[in-house]
Amino acid sequence: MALLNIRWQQLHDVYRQHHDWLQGWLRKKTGNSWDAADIAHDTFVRIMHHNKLAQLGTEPRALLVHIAKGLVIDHWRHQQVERAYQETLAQLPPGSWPSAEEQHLILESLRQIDRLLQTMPAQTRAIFLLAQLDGLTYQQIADQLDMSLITVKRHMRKAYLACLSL
Amino acid sequence: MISNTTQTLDPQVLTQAVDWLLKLQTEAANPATQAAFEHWQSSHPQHAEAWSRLTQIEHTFGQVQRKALAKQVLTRMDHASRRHALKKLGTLGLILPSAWLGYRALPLTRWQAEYQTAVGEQKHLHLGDGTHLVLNTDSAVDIQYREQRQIVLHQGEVWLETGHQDKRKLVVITPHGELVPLGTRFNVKLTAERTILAVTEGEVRIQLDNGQSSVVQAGQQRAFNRHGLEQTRRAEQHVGYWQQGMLLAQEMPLETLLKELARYRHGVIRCHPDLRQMVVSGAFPLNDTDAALDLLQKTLPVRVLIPSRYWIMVEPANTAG
Repeated sequence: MALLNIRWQQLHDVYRQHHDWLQGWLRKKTGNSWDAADIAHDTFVRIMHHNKLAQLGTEPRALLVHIAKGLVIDHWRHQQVERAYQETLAQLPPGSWPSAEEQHLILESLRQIDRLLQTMPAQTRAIFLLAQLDGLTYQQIADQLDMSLITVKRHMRKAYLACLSL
Repeated sequence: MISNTTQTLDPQVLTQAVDWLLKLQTEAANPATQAAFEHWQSSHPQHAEAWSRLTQIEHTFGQVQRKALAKQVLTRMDHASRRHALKKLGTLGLILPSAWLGYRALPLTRWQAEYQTAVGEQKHLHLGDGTHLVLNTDSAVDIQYREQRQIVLHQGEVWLETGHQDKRKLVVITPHGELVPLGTRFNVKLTAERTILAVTEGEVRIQLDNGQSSVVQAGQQRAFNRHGLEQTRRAEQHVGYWQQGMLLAQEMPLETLLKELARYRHGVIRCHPDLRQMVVSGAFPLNDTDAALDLLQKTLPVRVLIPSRYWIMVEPANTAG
């Protein structure tokens, strides 16, 4: 109880001192006050849930901005994944839509994969997806793209390392 | 799932793991290679860890149902935008995993269920159609999935994130009217006199028995009862944040704040008339309202009097007695 109180007291103080500033910063960056308010709130929720109060130190704004940036990008990406998904679905005949349960899993997978792909150069990403989602062998990819097998392998190596470095 | 472990692995070990994977993928099975790989893998804990991360990546792709559809979506995405976003925001942002823990998975079709929460309790329900529902303190819902998906709110407050999936119509029913969400996130709060709908994403249509209807957009809130609709307003910023166990108040009148806190505990919290309009900002715990009241006392010129556990008075600090 006493510990909880201290934790809340600290969070409370940080909130009062920095919330408006953070929200202003986010508004400037996102150009949207609704998102800014939302993400500012989420930042404090994150601080609490991940027990990051101890890391706030003497420059709390540095950590607040750090967390807020990650949330902004996450937010944008999720919106984009969902939009791309809806657009793709709209082009399919409704009869061929995945079932409700499937759709939920697919969206979740898409978010995870999108994250894995984020740092790959375009060509590496294209080759990686040919192998992972189209199910082509490295030789088939080499033939299709008219490149040597060793080049395909070099891209695959780069792709796996990009995933691992996240 | 991608591993969230924070252990940093030697880049050289990561490269070795990838080289092993490519070798095993492309060379014909061979006992000598297999033995050499197993030796590498077991010779250091970092090797095993690197291999396990690599296996998880393979699994992420391997488990994808409808790979062709996934490919189409990913091809449509603008992958450069994350880098642009980073540039726009300055330096690198850290992406932390969302803390979606403790959900209950429920079966998809043809079932009826009644869920209730006690005062101070919250409940997460994850329905099989992808709909995610959070019941706030002292609330009750019925969930009926038949020819249409019905969620009946009898009491209290519920936050919903709908799945876009099931083809059956989803309707949220309160004693004051019906809500038809169009792929969205929204909060529904029921009081004796009215239902208050706040939409944070997408749109929700309100339908009243008397034929009136209206669409509420993201960022808006609108209250209604059986007789009519109130004005549409900008949604309050703290909508839905109760589910994080935290009340984030931004320039909230003290009376409103105390009313909110009172929903999470038994008994009455009385606000002194002189304090009703006092403006409060801060973070308050909802799962420990004693601590929340204590914070108020520490940071505002107020005094919290607790004659009994069920009777609390908040008064100006300088009042005698």
